[in-house]
Amino acid sequence: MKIERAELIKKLSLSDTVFAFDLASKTIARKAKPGQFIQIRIFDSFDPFLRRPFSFASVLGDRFRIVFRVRGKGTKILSQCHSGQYLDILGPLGKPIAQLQNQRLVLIGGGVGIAPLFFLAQRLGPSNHLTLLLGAKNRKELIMLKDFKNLTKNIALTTEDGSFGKKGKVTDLLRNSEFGIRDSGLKIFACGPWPMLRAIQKRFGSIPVYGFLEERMGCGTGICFCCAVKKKDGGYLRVCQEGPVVNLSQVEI
Amino acid sequence: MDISIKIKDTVFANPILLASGTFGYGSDFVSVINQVGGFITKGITLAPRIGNPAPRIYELPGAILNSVGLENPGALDFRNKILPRLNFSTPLIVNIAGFDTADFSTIVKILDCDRIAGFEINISCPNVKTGGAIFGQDPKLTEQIVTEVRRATKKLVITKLTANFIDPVNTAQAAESAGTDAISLINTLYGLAIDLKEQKYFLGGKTGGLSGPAIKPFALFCVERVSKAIKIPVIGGGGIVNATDVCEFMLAGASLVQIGSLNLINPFAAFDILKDLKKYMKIYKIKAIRQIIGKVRSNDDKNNTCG
Ligand SMILES: Cc1cc2nc3c(=O)[nH]c(=O)nc-3n(C[C@H](O)[C@H](O)[C@H](O)COP(=O)(O)OP(=O)(O)OC[C@H]3O[C@@H](n4cnc5c(N)ncnc54)[C@H](O)[C@@H]3O)c2cc1C
Ligand SMILES: Cc1cc2nc3c(=O)[nH]c(=O)nc-3n(C[C@H](O)[C@H](O)[C@H](O)COP(=O)(O)O)c2cc1C
Repeated sequence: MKIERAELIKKLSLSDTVFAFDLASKTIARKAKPGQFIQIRIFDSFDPFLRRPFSFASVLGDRFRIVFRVRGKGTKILSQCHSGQYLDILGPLGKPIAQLQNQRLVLIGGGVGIAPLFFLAQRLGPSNHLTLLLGAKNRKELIMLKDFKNLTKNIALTTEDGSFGKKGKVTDLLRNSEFGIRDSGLKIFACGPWPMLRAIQKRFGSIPVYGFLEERMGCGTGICFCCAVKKKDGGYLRVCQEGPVVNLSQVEI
Repeated sequence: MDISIKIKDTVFANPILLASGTFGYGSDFVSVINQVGGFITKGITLAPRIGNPAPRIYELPGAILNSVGLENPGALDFRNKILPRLNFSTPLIVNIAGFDTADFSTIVKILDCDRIAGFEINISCPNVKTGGAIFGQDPKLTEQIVTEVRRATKKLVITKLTANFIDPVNTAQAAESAGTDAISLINTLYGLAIDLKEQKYFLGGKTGGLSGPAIKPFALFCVERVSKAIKIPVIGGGGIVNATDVCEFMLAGASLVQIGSLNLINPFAAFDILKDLKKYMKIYKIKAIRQIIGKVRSNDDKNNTCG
């Protein structure tokens, strides 16, 4: 892991509040693996004090992409950056998702949580069978759809306002889906808000569901022990070190 | 150019220490640890502790509020599982915390070995309900704990004081008379954050400890005040983010300094600080860094020059 000054090559606005940044850094792009993230220093000054964590949404050559939603002060400032600017980036961080082969994988994404699944699909798509279930508020928030469609045809979509795909939440697709609870050999990857992860874990029971965890983070490098998520067998795990992607059966959700 | 500092028998290659709780146990970023003057572990307690629920960190301009709650594997597991794997030559100082006055010397007896350069007695942790900062708010308890630890080890003993609700001069003098080799301060300040939307406490541990550049002026104030009142060395910290801050703490009376919260945003920060520190020494013609300790000039003294 290193600190790099990466050039913002391209800035895209995917919806009113969601932005995609393409950043150039050979060292980070070459090392990045699905499930990992970076920490961006918003300003050299100490306000905001902490870096902000963002997952890799895709990697191509010496460039990588992050996709983020404007939530508070840090992401607001970040959204005002322009191409040509350099960003102070620490990464790659977190435990990568293991390379898988010849498996049936279901990737479930909600909202801006769709983005990190793209990098996963990019890397695991060629050697596994993928099914994607993606949901968002409205059509515009169903981000990176074209990119996903280039990877696979097995995509089911939902929007909360019904403007595209099925009306409802992405978890509604699970209710009468083809995936049986006893469907062995299936692996689920899910990225989205906690209630979504909870619903998915409940639905699949014994089938392993790997969720992208989020918790207020300090360092991102494992040294401050702030991003704690409660484990089922007692104690806490660090999202930045044992995660961010963990088998949801291990944690209290 | 001499940037080393000696306290008791321990030679610190430079005045930069990595503060407890902000750099893990010493198994990560070994390249950084190898460059600094000393490494202080995250707080170790007698029994293992799982720590506080999330969220454990809250942020404000120039500061953070943490309520990690001393999550740690306990003294035995630290000794058996972590200690043997630490492979750096930098002086290793173990930060110890307790809930009973007897805990401290018990931990020291478990851990005392050649691998360790010394102990930092943490009687200033604001994130636990019993013990912790309570001991550091009472000169008598401070004296008792330090006396027991002093009896248990010949290694370097540092006493880390709180500045919460007490004049640290009182506890510093108590620790000095009980035989501590150095005083470190300040630990984090009490803080509270409220989640307005939910109308509840923001942090999982309810209260937290405030650190970062926002607390620097108060930390400097305490370092100056305490270093004038005792004869043993003071290790200063609280809000240090660059080499200028390091010089300020040393001028105020610190022999060594601790870098804390800064490590969270830049684990390599100590490299830059050291580089810049050497630059300043060159510019201001300081031959040995120890010469600036406590040399802040009074405002009407026009003759005294630095170095
Ligand atoms: C491993 C990881 C990967 C992430 N990847 C993405 C991503 O790819 N795209 C994206 O849009 N968002 C992602 N997030 C969430 C994103 O980091 C937060 O939305 C962002 O930090 C909010 O910052 P802010 O200053 O705008 O908000 P503020 O609310 O002003 O932030 C205040 C503090 O809270 C923290 N914080 C706020 N919300 C969250 C949250 N949900 N999770 C963790 N910390 C939070 C901030 O880091 C900051 O320390 C990720 C979070 C984690 C932990
Ligand atoms: C996340 C975090 C954990 C800490 N844990 C400990 C600890 O275990 N023991 C201790 O004595 N101090 C602990 N501290 C206090 C620091 O060592 C340091 O004294 C304090 O943060 C002030 O310095 P700073 O402003 O440079 O961070 C912790 C601080 C932070 C931010």
